[in-house]
Amino acid sequence: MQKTNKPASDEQILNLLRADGTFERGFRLLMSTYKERLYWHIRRMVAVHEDADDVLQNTFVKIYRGVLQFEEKSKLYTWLYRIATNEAISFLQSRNRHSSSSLDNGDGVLAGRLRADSWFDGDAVQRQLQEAIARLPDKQRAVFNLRYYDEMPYEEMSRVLDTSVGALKASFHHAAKKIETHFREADQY
Amino acid sequence: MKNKQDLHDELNEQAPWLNEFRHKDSGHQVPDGYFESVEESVFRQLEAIGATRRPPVPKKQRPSLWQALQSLWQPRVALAFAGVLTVVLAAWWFLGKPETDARVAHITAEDAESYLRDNLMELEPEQFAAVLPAEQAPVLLLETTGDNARMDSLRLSPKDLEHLLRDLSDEELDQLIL
Repeated sequence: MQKTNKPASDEQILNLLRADGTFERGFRLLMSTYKERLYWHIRRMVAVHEDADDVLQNTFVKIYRGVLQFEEKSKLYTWLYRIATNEAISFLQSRNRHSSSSLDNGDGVLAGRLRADSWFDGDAVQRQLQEAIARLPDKQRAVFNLRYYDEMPYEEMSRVLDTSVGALKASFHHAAKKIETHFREADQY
Repeated sequence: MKNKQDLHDELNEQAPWLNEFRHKDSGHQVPDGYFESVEESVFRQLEAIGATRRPPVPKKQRPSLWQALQSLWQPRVALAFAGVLTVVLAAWWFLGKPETDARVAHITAEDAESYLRDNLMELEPEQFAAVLPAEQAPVLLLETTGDNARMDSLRLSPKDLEHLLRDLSDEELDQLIL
């Protein structure tokens, strides 16, 4: 395990993963390098800490099983974000299928769960922003978060979400407008 | 840095008020020490599902014999195969020659001369001619007659040489070679 504060490079991680006898060390290094970034990406997608923790663990299990098949056609972090995004969207779709429509009081299931999350202590504006983001469709939420919080370039995002740059720009624009509308409406009441 | 500026400009254009919140904390929290425990939690889960051993490195499937043969029907492959076959045959042909040369390599010039001297009467004129390629045909020096005596050269073809040799007597031939 690395004791230095310098983040490990993808090359170091992949070399350890591929060499005989150092796979576990390489995987631990991968987790320590990327766990926080992936966690926050997932957390913004699923809103609640407990769900984010479940999805993060499933993401790492998928990565563990598939990392030796990673062919370096993209950057490692792009590949990791792709798995994390897919895992979060699958989780949300699965939960939406199983949740009763009575739980949705019109604010959206995710916004409702966000209000109940004990690991959220933002102020009123922060809560309003997170609720507006939570109301976005899953993929649009991923686009908004990757651009707004992770500041990911559209070209990189295109590889993560397998969507054209033009479509991503349009999606981000619509997401920003929806959030603005949400704020304007909330101000009126 | 450029990307940060791009995002700033993009937000200023589309939703300027979102720029105000961008550097603000989102309000999400995690339990104390959560990130320190992630690795162990993942390994516990891997153990629970029996996946703690190093996953196998994916192997590329070997094509069946029929698939391999089918691939030979591709025009590019067939052309490449023909090219390689030509090179191999050419190499076999040219590398085969030194073998023959190697068999006679131990024969010295003296041995050859001695053989020719002993078997001079057994050799046919065309045998002399046949071993000489046209461009290596001997240049026969002819003494021209006249006041301005000079030597002209005449390049002989194997056929001409054959005729000349046939016309020579055994004694003349003996003198010519010796």
